[in-house]
Amino acid sequence: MKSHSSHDIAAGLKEGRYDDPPPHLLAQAVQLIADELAPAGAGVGKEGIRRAMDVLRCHRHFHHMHLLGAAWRDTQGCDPVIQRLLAQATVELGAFDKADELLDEAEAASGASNDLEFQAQSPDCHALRGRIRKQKFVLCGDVNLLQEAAACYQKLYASRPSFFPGVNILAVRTRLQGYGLDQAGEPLATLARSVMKQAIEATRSNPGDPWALAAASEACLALDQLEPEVEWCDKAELWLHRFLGHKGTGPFEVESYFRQVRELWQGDSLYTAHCAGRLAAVLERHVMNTQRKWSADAKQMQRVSRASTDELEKNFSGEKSFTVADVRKMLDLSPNVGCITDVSGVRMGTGFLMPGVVFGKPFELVFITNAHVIGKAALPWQQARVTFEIESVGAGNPVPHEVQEVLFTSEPGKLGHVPDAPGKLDVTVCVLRSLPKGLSGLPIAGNIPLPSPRTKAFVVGHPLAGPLQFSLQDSVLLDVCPKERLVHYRTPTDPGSSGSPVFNDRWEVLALHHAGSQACPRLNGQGEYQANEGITLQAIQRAMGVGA
Amino acid sequence: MRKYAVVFVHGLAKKPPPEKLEEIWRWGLSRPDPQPDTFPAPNPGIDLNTQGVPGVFNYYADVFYGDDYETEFHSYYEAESAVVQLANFYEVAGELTPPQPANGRERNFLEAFERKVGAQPTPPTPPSALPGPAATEPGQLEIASWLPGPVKQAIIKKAAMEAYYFLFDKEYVRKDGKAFRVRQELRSRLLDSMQTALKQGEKLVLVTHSMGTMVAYDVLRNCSDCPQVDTLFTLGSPLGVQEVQDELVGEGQKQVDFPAATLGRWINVYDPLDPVCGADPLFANDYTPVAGKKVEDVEEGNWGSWRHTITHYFAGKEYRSRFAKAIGAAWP
Repeated sequence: MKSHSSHDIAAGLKEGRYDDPPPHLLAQAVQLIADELAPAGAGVGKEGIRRAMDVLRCHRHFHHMHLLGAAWRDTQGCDPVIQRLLAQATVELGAFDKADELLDEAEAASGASNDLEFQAQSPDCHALRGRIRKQKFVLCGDVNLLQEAAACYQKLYASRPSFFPGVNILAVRTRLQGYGLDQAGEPLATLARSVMKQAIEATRSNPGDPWALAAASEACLALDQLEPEVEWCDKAELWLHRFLGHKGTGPFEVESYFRQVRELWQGDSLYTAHCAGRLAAVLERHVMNTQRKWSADAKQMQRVSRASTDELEKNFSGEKSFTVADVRKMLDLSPNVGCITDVSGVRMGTGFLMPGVVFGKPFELVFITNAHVIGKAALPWQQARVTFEIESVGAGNPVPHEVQEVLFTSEPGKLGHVPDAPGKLDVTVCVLRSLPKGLSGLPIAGNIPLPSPRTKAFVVGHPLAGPLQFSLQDSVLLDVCPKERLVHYRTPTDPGSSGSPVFNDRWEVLALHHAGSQACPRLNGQGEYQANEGITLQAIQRAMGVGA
Repeated sequence: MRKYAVVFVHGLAKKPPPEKLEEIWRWGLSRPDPQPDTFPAPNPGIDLNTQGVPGVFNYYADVFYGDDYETEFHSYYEAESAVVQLANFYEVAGELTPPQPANGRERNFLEAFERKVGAQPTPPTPPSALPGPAATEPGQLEIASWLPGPVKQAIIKKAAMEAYYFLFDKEYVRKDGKAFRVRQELRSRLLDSMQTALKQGEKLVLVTHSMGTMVAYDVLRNCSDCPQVDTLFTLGSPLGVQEVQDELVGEGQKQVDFPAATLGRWINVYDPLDPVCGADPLFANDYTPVAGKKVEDVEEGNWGSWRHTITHYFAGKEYRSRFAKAIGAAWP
């Protein structure tokens, strides 16, 4: 039986149990645990926090994981496991420099204490440092970072030779070789064969673990580049299908390998003549079919936006509710969608630009997000930073924009509660001190659509751990409340989608996404159902004294 | 309560079941960039659900043709090249009991209507189109582009008969024995549809086609319990035919006029090569302006040899721009 109170859920998390609780209850439970840590010397032991963070990691709740880790660090100091998990959450949330600082802190604590637990964490910390450098290379293209990443993974490989560090060394060194810079170590083809062997052995010794299948695929991908005369790509695809079909392969695992194929191996699903492109196309189709979403980083979006109609049709074939014109419109508008971070770069949510006139404000563009992302009880506006992925990629580094002024804010209400909280809109409308060039903001929908099985509600947002994500399939508008203040939709969203624009099928914004739940109270009638909830822009306009 | 609600009123001939017919109409209205050779892009579709506009479909084909609908449907939308052949005309358009005119006026109506409408020039059907797949289902008339000459004449004859039964409020006995006073029944159904729509939207927009335009005008002009309508669209309408006007003229009036007491705006959309409206497609000079309101005639050329098809009218940019404005939507 599932736990239904936040206290039960908190107790379960501390024991390493996770019963797929409704998001708002999970958030309350995590906050409860964090609050227990506040009084010095009181509350929870480190084992409970470690277990809670680990189970949250397994379910990709990096934001919650970060909250717990930061609460422990702030109140109890540096625990080797918690610090490593906190660093991992920080990496997943995109704050690479901050994560590096946390690992430095752990290393310093290790040196000072001679605690063997720190030493036990050391290999994983090397892996994280490798990941940080790899990700930073993807962002800014500095090959020195790639070299550093190889060194980090090499340290791990030396202490714990296995396919995991091996395949990362292989990917990083193959990329360096592409720059004519690979120098050290055994020949790449030998390394690839070693990784392949280790991965195949792991599939036998630990058949419940899907990672070895991905590593085998990646080793074949490397061999395809190194030995083009042999048909390694077919094998790479075969291992990929085994990986995708493994019962332990979930969205996190798929996205991890997909990211590696895209970012390190430069796989582009539009160009399947190359093996990495072939694998990227398989992965993209799998994500579309299983998660009903399409994710693209800024570079990929730029490539797709230049693609021909034929290429787009091939790429989006099977998307019956989507035309090539839709794809182009979607890509044109996506630069207006931004990612909100704190000052250290930790991702907090999504927001978007709209013309100020929409809200009766004399600003060319205003930025809209949830009050539970930027607000009094959340991230203070003075500490909020907004980055726009397309702009950041163009600049080669994240370009943070500060908030200049909050024009309007309304605290969040409970999910699905219409009559008792008409003034709680969970929105913050603000002005940014600076703006990306050439943007004109997202258009507002003139009307709230009628719910029907054919009425679409598309969500575009920044999940906490990935690139800009577009929910395409199964995006149905379920209901509209009688006051046209809230809308419900069955659209796949991830944590971090808070503050995303909800579009109609003309790519006009109809609502601000704020929450979702497996047990969301219905807007009309009794009972609960699985739904996401958005605040209509018309309700926000009315609250700001604008519009009908 | 939404700001606008739309009532659709269909035209002549047998139809698929109401929900299927509504689906076809909505498809015709919502498809993006249809027939780009005729209507250059951008020509976005208008999806009423997306626009938040409730729609009510006023259906009356069963009065003439019963409710033994087809249950198996092929994909209409991919068979626009289907040709209605004379051999299966009744299968597609339905069979109607020939009227028995009671007097010279009724006889004259039937003869004049058929003659005037039948005399209109229509584009020829190219021989290359004739071997296209044969239409076999009622819904295919809603999308047909090509009709052989004899089929056009058969449809015009059917239009005259349906108009006769309606305008002279004749009792029509269906094949299953059920009888209707046609004008009373069609008026009543439309009024019911309008009341249903008014529960969902503050302002009413009527979108009417072919024979349905006569029903709408009659209700607006001659029914005292007709609610206020914001905009009336008539598409491919025979309301320009003098003999039709003679039967719809208001009590005590010599000439048909704008039903200003119940109607805000009337937009009449016509293709000059549509035979049903081609006899007199312009209404502004026929319907006397009242209280400064007069009919706005809009020419909308579409395509094919049968220029009366509703989904082709719905594809037109002139129509779409005005319809979008009428329901408070941005277009394009």
